[in-house]
Amino acid sequence: MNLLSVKNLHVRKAGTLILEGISFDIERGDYIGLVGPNGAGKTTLLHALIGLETLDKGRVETEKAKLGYVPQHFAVESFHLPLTVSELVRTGLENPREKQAQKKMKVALKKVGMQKFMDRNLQNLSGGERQKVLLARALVDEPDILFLDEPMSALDDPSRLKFYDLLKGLNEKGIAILLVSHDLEMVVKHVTRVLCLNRKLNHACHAVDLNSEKLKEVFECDRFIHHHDHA
Amino acid sequence: MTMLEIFQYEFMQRAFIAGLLISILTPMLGSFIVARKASLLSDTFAHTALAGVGLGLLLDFNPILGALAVALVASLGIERIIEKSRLSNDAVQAIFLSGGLALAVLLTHLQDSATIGFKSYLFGSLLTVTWSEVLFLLITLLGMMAVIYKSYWPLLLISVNEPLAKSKGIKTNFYKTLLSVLTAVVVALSLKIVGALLVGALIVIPVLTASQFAKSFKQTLILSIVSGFIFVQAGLILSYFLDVPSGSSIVLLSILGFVIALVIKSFKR
Repeated sequence: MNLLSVKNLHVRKAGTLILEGISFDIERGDYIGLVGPNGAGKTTLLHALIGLETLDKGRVETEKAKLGYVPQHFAVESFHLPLTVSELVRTGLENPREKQAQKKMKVALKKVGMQKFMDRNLQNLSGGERQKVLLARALVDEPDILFLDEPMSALDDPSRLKFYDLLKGLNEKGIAILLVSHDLEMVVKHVTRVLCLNRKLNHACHAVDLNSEKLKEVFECDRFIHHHDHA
Repeated sequence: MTMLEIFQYEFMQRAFIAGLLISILTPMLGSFIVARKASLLSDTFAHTALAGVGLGLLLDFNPILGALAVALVASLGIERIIEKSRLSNDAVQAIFLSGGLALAVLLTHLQDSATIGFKSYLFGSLLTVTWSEVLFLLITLLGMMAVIYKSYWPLLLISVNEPLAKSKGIKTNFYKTLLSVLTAVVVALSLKIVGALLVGALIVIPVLTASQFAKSFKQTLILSIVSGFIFVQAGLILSYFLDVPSGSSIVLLSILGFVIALVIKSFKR
């Protein structure tokens, strides 16, 4: 069953067509990597899916699927007043004043291994910890699909691997994931499907079927990837 | 003269009650304004509102009502212009700020007697607060508390990160306009106590002082009201005894309080 269907999506910004005729579906259990060169429209597409962009043409249909969104790492860095982890996570709830809020927040923070950080000030956390809090925020309302926009761009390699493990665990529990990233090698290694975007959707294929020929078409230069065994 | 004697005068009673109401109003709103990095907005409204003061003085109606009307028009106008044009936020605000002040100067210039009254709206004058203005402040405070309670979480989220709020289906434009309108109202009503040139400080400094000690946004909000209360009341007492404009004493005490908070915090580290 499709959780979300994108049909002939067009997005224009300041008169320029950024996305042209994009169509694809997200199904339950999907783990999709959205890749493409700089300026390909990856973030714009993600924003269009979660309602942050005005569509020029086309539709995004969801069957009552709940969407969770994890923005880029700097999203909360510019907030200069004290803000606790629990205050930020609570904003992810449909009704932050609901009776179950505290319990739901604990569950979400436990999922990302940050349950002990509940009352900590966000300003005193590392980039990786902050990203996990943003992930917990997206999880607190129990979404069907998670959208992540370059969530690991500020993380060092060990934290990045841990973050991928975290996503894999969530995906195995039934949450569909769409991950935007420029880190081609890592994405292809972890996801099951890849969408190659360069204004148009050049390829939508299984990660294992991605080859240098398809990549060249998207990135307009030679890009090579090494497939690892998906054990 | 003892402290108790101050309260024998009715104008001082009015000033202290008005000060109390303002000291709750400004930091409560200020927490969201500082969080959104929109501190300049309060100064813009204050300067623009002076045109309304000028109009009130010239045409002989309550200048605070004039200030309120002009500030409200400005709050809606600035948002619209930024939306429709490609001009930056601060550029549009700068035009309103200087335009409002220029118009105010022109309007008061047309009538000699207005110039004396006008000065009290620049720097604040506790002698001139009336009971009806105190009542109006009280109603505004109650209304504001209801609005902030109802809109606390959406306002906090748009302050933290607008796309996050939008992705949750929050009508961000509505809440931005709401914050802007509330700021215009509070600024216009504060003109008599602290004055147009100094009201921005009362919105920002208690919040910054509170943020030195607070561990959460909620604590910042509560502590900023406490520090705002202390600054305003102490400033009013000082203003009375030293015979200086209330706006000046309140703001200078606030800055002193903020510096002390900074020093205490640096020692704690």
